[in-house]
Amino acid sequence: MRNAISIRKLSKVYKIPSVLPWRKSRRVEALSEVEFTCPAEKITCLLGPNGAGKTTIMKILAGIILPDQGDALVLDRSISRADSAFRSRIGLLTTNERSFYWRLTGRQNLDFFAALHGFKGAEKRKRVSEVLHEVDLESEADKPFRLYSSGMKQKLNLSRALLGNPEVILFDEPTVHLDPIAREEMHTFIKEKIVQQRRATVLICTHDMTEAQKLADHIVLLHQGKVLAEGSMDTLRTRVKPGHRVVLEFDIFPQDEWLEDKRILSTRVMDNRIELTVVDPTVVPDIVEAAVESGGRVEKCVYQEESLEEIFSEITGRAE
Amino acid sequence: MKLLAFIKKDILVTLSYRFRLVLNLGGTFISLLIFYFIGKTFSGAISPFLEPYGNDYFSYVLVGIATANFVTLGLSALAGQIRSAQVEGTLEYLLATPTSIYTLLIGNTLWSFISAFLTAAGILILGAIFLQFRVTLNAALVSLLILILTFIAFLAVGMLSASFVIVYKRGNPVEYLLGWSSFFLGSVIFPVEVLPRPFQLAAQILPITHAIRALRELLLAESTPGDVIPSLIKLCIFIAILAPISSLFLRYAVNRAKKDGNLSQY
Repeated sequence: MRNAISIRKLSKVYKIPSVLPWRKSRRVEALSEVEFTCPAEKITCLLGPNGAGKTTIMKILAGIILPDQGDALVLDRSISRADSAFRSRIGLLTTNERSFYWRLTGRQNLDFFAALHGFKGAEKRKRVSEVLHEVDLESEADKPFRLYSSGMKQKLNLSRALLGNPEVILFDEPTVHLDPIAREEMHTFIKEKIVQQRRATVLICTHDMTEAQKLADHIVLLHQGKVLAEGSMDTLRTRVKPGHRVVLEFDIFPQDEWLEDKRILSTRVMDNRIELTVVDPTVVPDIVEAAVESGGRVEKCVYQEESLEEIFSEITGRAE
Repeated sequence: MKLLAFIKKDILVTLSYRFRLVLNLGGTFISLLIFYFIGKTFSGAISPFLEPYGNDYFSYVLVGIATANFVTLGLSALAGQIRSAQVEGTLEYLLATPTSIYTLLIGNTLWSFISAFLTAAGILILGAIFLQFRVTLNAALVSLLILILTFIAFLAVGMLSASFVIVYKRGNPVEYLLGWSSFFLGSVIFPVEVLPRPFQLAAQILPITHAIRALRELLLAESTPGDVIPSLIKLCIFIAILAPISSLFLRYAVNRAKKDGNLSQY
């Protein structure tokens, strides 16, 4: 699988000057040899608590700050050596609604940013209308930005990120100020319009585990400036606990030794239920059949998967 | 094209703050009115320093104020616009667009300079009409050239000034040094010849001194364009020295702020 973004041994230390001039400045290690990849035309979620270094990575990718060491390759180009024209291939959506001109209308804002992307005249007007239509904001486009609701502001933010027709789009906490309906709309838009239709690569930085679990094809767990793990949900689950977890609840518990030779990694019996970890989930019907044959009566059979939150806690716990 | 987009955006923003626009125009009018009455108070008194310029203080100060607009802007507008963009939060996003840092910085200030240019030109045209400056077409064109050179010179000063704002956020030595000295030594509201000799020598290294002198000679002393060529050359030398230095300073400042990760902090 081709990677649209490859982060290589990225390190960044911030010097925080002391408020008191006679005290030395403090050094805060924001990133320490961070390495991960984002597969092309997929959604990667950069997940971590506040202060993990997510925004630093986004700012490095957007060309706003420079790393101390390491490099980031976006579409096979080193970001530190890329010229300003290359930036039109990368879209950015930030949480900062103050990055718009509040006295101007939504359309006037987009008109200005479209010009910075190199659009001119009729082509510019067409592009602005296209992106406004795409996010369903055309009817509100001529209202001043200051009168927009949070949802409308984020739609305009999204349309601005799409202006340059980017191949890679960086989303910094895209749903942080949104209500559940607008959040759902944003998720659908990212999945269907951006990834499936446009075939763009998306990197989302978030601390919302549910959002990451819902959207991500690929997850990168970041903690205290270090990558703790990366991969698909299944890969991360396997890393935390190999195998698949199945819980069987019985009305009548089967007789002993019914679980032999079923490729079971571990078992835990609690009253009338048994928690199993199996290598291959296709063996579960055989297990249920064996239980019935051994005189058991199965009330419930549930696959239990670790949530991303559990995986994250487990992995960060091990790291600490 | 990108610079035009900045100008259009800033015109729209300026027009959306109509009351501020009226106050700014009113402020310029009131300051001119003050100098008009100062001039009237001393009208008839003969000053040897004003004699070459028709001995009219108001005409003298009008040219000074029109040109001094560029000093204020060069020293504060670029730095001020950067600071506003940092505070408002637009700078960070602008830096992520496919636009060079120089286009961003100059674009952000261009409207301020153009409005200062228009104000200066407006003041001089009104002066020419109401105070009956006897100006030939050639002199008017050379005056325009002087204003353009002053514009470029102070844009370079502005870039130097902005470099300090980018790195230190607050505390701008260029503003303190050049701002104070330009108003004091640049013959804006009184002739530098009234000051002691060392100050007069120091005034020679300031671009505003030459710009104002050339404009006054053309508009008030009825000199020919050929007479102001030395002042034009000095302005050009100033630009040739300062523009590359400012550009290097700005590049260093932006890289340092990107390294420190505080480009958008204030």
